Amino acid sequence: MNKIISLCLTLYLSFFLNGCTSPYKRVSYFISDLEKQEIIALIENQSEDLKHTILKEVDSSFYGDKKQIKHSAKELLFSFLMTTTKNKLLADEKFESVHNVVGNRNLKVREAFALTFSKYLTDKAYHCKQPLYFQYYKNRYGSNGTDTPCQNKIPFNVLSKDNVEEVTWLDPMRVKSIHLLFAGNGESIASRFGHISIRLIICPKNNFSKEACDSNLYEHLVLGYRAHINEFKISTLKGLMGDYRSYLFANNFMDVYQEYAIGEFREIYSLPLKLNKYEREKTVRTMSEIHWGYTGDYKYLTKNCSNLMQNALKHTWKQFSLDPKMNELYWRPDNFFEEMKSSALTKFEKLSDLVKAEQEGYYFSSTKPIYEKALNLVRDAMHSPSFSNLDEYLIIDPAKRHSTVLDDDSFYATIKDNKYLLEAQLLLEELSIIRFENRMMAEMAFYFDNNDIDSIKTHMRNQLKDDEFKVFSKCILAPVVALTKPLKKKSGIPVMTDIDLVKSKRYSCKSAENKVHLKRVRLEMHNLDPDNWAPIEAAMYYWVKSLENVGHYIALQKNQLDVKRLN
Amino acid sequence: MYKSCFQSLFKICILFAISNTANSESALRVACEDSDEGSKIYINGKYKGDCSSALFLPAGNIKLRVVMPVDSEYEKVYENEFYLGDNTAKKVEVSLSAPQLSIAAIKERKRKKNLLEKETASAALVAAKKGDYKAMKSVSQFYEQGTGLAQNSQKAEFWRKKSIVTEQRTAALETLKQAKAGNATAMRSMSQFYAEGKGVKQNTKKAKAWEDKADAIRAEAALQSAKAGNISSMREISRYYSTGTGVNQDTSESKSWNNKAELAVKEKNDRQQQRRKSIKSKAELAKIDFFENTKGAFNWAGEIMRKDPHDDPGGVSSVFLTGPYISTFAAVSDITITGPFNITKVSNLKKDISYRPSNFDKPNSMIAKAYRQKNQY
Repeated sequence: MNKIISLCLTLYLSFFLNGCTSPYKRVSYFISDLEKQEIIALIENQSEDLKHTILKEVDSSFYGDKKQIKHSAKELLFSFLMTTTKNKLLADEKFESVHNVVGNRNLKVREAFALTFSKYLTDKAYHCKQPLYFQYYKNRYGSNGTDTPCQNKIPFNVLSKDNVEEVTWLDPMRVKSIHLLFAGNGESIASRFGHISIRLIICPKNNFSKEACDSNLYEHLVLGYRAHINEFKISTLKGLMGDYRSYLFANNFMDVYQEYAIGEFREIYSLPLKLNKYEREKTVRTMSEIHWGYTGDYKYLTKNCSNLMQNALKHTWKQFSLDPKMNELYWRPDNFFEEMKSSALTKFEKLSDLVKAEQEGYYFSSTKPIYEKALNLVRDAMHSPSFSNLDEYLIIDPAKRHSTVLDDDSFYATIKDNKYLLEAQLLLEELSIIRFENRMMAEMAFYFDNNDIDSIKTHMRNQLKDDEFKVFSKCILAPVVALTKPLKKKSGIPVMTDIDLVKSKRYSCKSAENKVHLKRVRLEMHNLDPDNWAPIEAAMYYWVKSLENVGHYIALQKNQLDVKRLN
Repeated sequence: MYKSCFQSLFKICILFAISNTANSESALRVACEDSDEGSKIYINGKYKGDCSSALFLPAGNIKLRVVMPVDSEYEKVYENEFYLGDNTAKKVEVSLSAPQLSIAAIKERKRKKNLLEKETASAALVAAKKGDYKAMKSVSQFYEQGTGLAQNSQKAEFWRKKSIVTEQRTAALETLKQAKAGNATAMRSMSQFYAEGKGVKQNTKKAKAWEDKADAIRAEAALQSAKAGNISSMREISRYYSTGTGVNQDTSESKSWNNKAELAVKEKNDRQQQRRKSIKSKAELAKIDFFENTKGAFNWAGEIMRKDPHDDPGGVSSVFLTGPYISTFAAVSDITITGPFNITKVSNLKKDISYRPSNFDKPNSMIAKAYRQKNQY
């Protein structure tokens, strides 16, 4: 009989773990004295009131006299929390509110409550792993007596165009300031009203001066809610209906800058929040918890970057939650930003003079005027330029652009000696790289959208030899598939041991042998869908040509430096 | 008796003959077309009336001239000569010529031409005497041809020689002005003038001085052009340093410029090679005419970031920072990269891309400061 009950419990747990709906029926279980003692020991540090309530519930739910331990105390606590009828041990509105900010949408409220409460009761490091949930339980039930110090480095899974993912470990003490980051209005439906995120001003490891921290842009992180597009084309309808998942993504600030100020010619405003040292650390830890734990629906109007960020700040920052202006949820990021600018929560005066703000790192203007200036400089120096504006320049075949420069003796001679002109020419070619990079991504997306991954795999399996197929899987398929898979989420802030420290040996796609295989892969990608592969090949070709142009001008720059050094 | 009879008969014959001659008259009808009505009719040079007319004329040779004046100089004319028989009637149909210069007009014109030639020659003579070498040449020709002036070969030769000397002197003066203003070509001309004594008194020292000045200017120009990257100028200045033309002779400078010229030629060849390679690559891609024919692919007119190529606005930028595409492309496209830039450096390059615009135009911006700080480390 005992075995049957145990089996039921195991099945129940496995159903839960597999995401099945639980019946929440009040049931009784056998429990050994040892198991009961284990529970009592675990909740020893809780308040008397909570201990009493839990033990009473345990006594009424479990019975038995077996001495053998079948389940961990944590499992048992979870079980009776899932079935209890006592309001004191059930989720309330405040919990739902916290869960909406930091929880996983796959968990129902009751399940989430049982899971997190059992962890709160049993895990001495819980305040480090899930500080927002911990704060809720502490407020509701009083301290659990845990005060073990937390790890001094907080992880963020930073995504970029170049790396699939890379975990950055951040010491919160290095965060000198936190800004509300607003990217000005774009033209697409998803960016028409701008985009809101927060920016962590991270100091260099050994220099905490304001100047060093502000200019340490390479290490600054941007945390913002974005839809995770699990397909190759974004659907406006899905965006409106909430069929995309949203996460709090972490990106390098310079990637964000490149995306907005260079890629899309948008302005970026960085508004400092009035947070003290304690609040900054709390914010960093909480944001990491949300970053690792939160999975929600993304809806353009009701759950977007703006109102999700507002909810996060409400639970993270007391002054924010007390500000009457912030009671309203602003679904438009630009409106939210304007309200923040005029509130006492921010150092709004930093943005009163944009010239100064740009020098101090509170404002980042669109780079379009700079590229236009470079273009005019190059055009005026050329003998017979075939372009008059940026659009015209960027649609010229990069190889032809380079030939024109090589043929223009006067321009070439000038650019060799004129550092400023050479810099202008380099700028334009670098913009071309960005544009072709984006084009490659768009075309690749279209290719994979037009031919589903399974049919591509089947075709490749049939056409390629084993070695070739392996190269295809590792170098082409794996990175593409990674785009459509949900990100690996953790329950709370992971510790070092939670994250694979030893990365599997990276597969070299660039070895001489694999390069030969890749040629064959390319051919088969083409054979499968020539019409849609052709634009990818073309985009890659022009991307490479732009890179070669840049390489050429960089070589000229080095030559200038060498000549200067010799003189 | 016979004598008186013969005398009487002779007298009768004479009278008869006289009476016959005096009375014989023929009719001539001169008919003009309607448009030529009113033309003047002249018979043997005498005006006989307006056309059309019937004229009674004694028999004999007739010179008929019918004239219709067009203006003060031109007229339309009909001329005919024929024999008008005794007691006959003849009709002449007049067909006037195209307008032609009248005889009077021809004479008037000739008179005026002679007058003009005299006046021109006279003016040229005055100018020639004042020192105008072009006028001297004209006067020489006038004397030689007798145009406006009485033909005189001696005078013609005198003025020809005088014109040549004067012309050379004038040219020398004008060239001297330009040479003094720094014109190297003029300097060389002055040198030649002094050497040959053309327009100036022959002077070899002055010829040498102007040659040296011209060389110095040419050398300076070649030096500047060489510094700007002109390969032929590099070779030229190398020669100048070698021979001490326009500059102080300096063999090391000469060698240096010669080396630079060789390097520049090599570089130019490299560029041409790059270009050929680029064209070859382009040819390999000929099947994909990216900008013109790629079906349904790109709309380059708009902002690439903001326009999804397949009617999906916003799609690209929305997935932008959540996907690892670039590594895929780097793997695939690595095959084609042949230039001086190594793909493994792409990642570093892209970090620089973000900083470069601000570093270029906004050196005081935080982005530019961060760039400088990064490069210091």
